[in-house]
Amino acid sequence: MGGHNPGIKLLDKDGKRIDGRGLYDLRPIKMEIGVLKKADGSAYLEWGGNKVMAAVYGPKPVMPRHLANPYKAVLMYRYNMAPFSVDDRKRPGPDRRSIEISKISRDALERIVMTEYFPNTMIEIFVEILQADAGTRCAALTAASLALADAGIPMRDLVAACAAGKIDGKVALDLKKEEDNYGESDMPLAISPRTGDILLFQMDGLLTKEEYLESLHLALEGAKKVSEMQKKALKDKYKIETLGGEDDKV
Amino acid sequence: MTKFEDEMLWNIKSDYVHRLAQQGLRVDERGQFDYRPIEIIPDYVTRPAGSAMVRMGNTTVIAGVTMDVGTPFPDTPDEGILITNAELVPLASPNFEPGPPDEDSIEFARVVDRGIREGQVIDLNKLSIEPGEKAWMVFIDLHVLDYDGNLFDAGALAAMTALNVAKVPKYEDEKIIREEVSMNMPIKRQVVETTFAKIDDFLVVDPVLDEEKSADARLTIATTDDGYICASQKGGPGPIKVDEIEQMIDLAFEKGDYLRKIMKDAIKK
Amino acid sequence: MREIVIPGEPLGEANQDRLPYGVFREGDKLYSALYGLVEPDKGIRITPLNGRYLPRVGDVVIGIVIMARHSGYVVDINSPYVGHLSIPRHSNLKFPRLNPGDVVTVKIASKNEVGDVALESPRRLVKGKLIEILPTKIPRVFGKSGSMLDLIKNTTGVQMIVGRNGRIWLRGEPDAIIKAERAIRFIEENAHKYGVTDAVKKMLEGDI
Repeated sequence: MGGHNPGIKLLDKDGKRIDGRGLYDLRPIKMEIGVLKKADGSAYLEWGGNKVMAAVYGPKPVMPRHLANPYKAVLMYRYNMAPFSVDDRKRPGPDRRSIEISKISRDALERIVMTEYFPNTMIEIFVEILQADAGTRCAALTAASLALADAGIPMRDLVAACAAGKIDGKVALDLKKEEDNYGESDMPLAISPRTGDILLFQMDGLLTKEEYLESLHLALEGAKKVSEMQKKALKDKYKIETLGGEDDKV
Repeated sequence: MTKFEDEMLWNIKSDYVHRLAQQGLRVDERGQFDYRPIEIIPDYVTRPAGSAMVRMGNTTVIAGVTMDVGTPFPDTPDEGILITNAELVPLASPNFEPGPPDEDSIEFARVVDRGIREGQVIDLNKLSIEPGEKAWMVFIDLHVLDYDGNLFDAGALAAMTALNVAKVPKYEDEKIIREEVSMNMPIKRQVVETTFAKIDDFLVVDPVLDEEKSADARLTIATTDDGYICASQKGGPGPIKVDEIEQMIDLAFEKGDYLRKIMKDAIKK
Repeated sequence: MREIVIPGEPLGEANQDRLPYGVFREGDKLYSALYGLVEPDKGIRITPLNGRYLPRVGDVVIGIVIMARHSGYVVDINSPYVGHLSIPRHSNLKFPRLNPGDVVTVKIASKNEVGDVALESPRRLVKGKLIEILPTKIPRVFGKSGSMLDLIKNTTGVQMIVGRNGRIWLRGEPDAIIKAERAIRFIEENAHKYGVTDAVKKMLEGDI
């Protein structure tokens, strides 16, 4: 959350945002599944100016062995920003922000991934932010969910995430970088779309109760829209066409 | 898999690679000195001063060129500063672990750096802001996304492409204004690297992962567009012979020109 | 008709007690836990599009000996779980002397809830090429009653041993191995489509 810059107007006189969007519009999102060769599952996501790559390895034996759980798989989630992903070069390696994001993202997936199927193993989820434009933790978790599906890891549901915030006094959906820097609040949220359960939730800024609830509902709606896109991307990836000759069955 | 178990798997694959090598064949049916299909995407990401993604077969590397202002080194007071770093992020391979750079990522960064630095690719004099006090720092960050052998060539090509499209921001009143461009990155030479792997006596160009793991030795040669060799690095426990090096030099120039052409075409588009 | 299902997708009413892998129940409804294929007229069963090999008793797999212990061997079976091969104290059958790095076919003898996997009936494999494909595509490499396997073997002349854990052992002339591998990779990529058998047949016959 940046400071307030009275010089920047985030909404024009018609209520349009600096990128032309309305208050409740999502940025354009593109999803690609199974893009990496070495990973067990992977997904690439573009969300506005965000470029995010997620990969999953596992289930695999736990290293170091003393971290193994005899009843279920252990999840490991690592959110990492590439040095060139932001305007001022970010020094490589985990910083406190990345560590916190990794922790809450892992928690979001903990009950969704059916870890009880794989005792004494671990599942590693890696997300690299190649280009950042606010909302990276939401983009990362959304991509991670697709990568987990691509890896064939059983889950109770996909996980979809989206953020809402407040800019120039108005609650708005899906803030971009400038809006996040100069806006008054940021609220990222992730859900299990089938049940509406909220799995990740944070907020910073100053909001009245009404604004808080408005923001919450807006982020929820955004996440639901994102989950529809995830579903479509997964279904569209495999065309069940017929090759050349007649039908054949195994 | 532990490192030990991993080595076991490679021994089995290595047997097969060696047997093919004895017949002059490669695991992926390539010609002995052929590169895998190469894709170059300049300006792959937009935040840094310049960037490029290179795919060589399945090996995928992004190079980002970011600029900052710092104090020049005392022995080169009127030159800009070049720093190259590499991240073998765990996402790219089951064998990469999270943590500080290990010997492989350090070697990778230093070999790519050596080609650019020794080849004098960047006119560092043009990057001085105030001699002895302030100069531009050029950070080249190599980020591996998918590791299927031969990071050196892919990384060096990505770095060279990124430098070619990089724009130096404006520096005014002690502040970097990133939205404005003061000049294109001052480039003096085009440097690329060509890596050879030696499997018994069989030399191949652009080793794929199975070949890289099975090779007894490897040699990377960096060449410039005006006929110089500016860096070399041997890796692996096995020996290489002088006449093999002579053969590799000629190939390095030929392949270097090939890579430079692909890069030029990609940037033009 | 084949359909793609995704994690969390409803599959119908729950009216059975034993649920196949990748199907779970919430309340009185069944859901898919996996990204996979279903054929609704063939009942509630999901063919995952991907996933690591989970050992099943009776499966024949291709393993790599990792370590020798006095009681037997630790074997990597390309699974989140490692296999253990005990040397039987009294046995009429010849038990091969194994070294770390040996490639063997083994059978899954048993497994328990914490993932310990016991193996039996080892046979060493020598001088071939070991490839790995997605274990979920292995049934397609076998084909109906082994027909696809026979097709590849007969047209290319390779010796082929297919492990349920996604590992395949090929032995033969280099170009025969290349042809066989190409066919196997094609099956791996197109397993979800109709007409794969004919397409592979054309591919193999065309190659010769």
